[in-house]
Amino acid sequence: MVELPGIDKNDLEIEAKENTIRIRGRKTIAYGEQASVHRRERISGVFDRTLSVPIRIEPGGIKAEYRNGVLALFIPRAEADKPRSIKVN
Amino acid sequence: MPTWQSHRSCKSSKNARWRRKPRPRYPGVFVPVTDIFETPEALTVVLEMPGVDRNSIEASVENDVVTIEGRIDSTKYEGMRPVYTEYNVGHYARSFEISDKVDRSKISAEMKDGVVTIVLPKAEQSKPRKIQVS
Repeated sequence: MVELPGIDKNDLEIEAKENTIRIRGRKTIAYGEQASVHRRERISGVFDRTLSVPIRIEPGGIKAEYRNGVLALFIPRAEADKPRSIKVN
Repeated sequence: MPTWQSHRSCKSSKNARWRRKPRPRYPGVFVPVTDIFETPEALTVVLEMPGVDRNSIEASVENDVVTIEGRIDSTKYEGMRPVYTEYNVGHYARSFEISDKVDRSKISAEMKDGVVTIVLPKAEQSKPRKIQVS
């Protein structure tokens, strides 16, 4: 889960590869031309972050959900990464 | 225009990276990151409250203080075991003092993508006016 308040869903890009997830996008804040700013604490601009996860990812099965300014990614484990039981003869 | 004054100082750190000691995951109330800007018509306060639902926001005006509170639904995190965390989850609250230049009856609030926007229109007599020089 990633906190990304105030971002347009269309400005978010997510890529998955092997065991990494890359999340990038842009956050724009418009004050309007006539405005004088009294306090500026929010940060805007371009962001790009790559996270490594301790499993191999099944890229086709990732579900991404952006709600209330929080991006949630549900990352399934790749089939090849799942444990297999071995029969003893 | 010294209309605004932050009413509450930072209580606890949202960013877990700067913390020394581990704390529980729902430690307290966070001070949301806020922008305040002014146009000739109104003052606008924008607060970031990621994870807060529209129905969990409470805004009130009492005397000369505007208070905005956002509550997090922690049931979403129940049964989850954190593998890695770098931010804390908790409720948000912040209050501001306003001057009598704000028309209290016309204050409005809006919530989108975890961002609360509060518009405080100025009272008619305090709007900027051009003065004709004769």
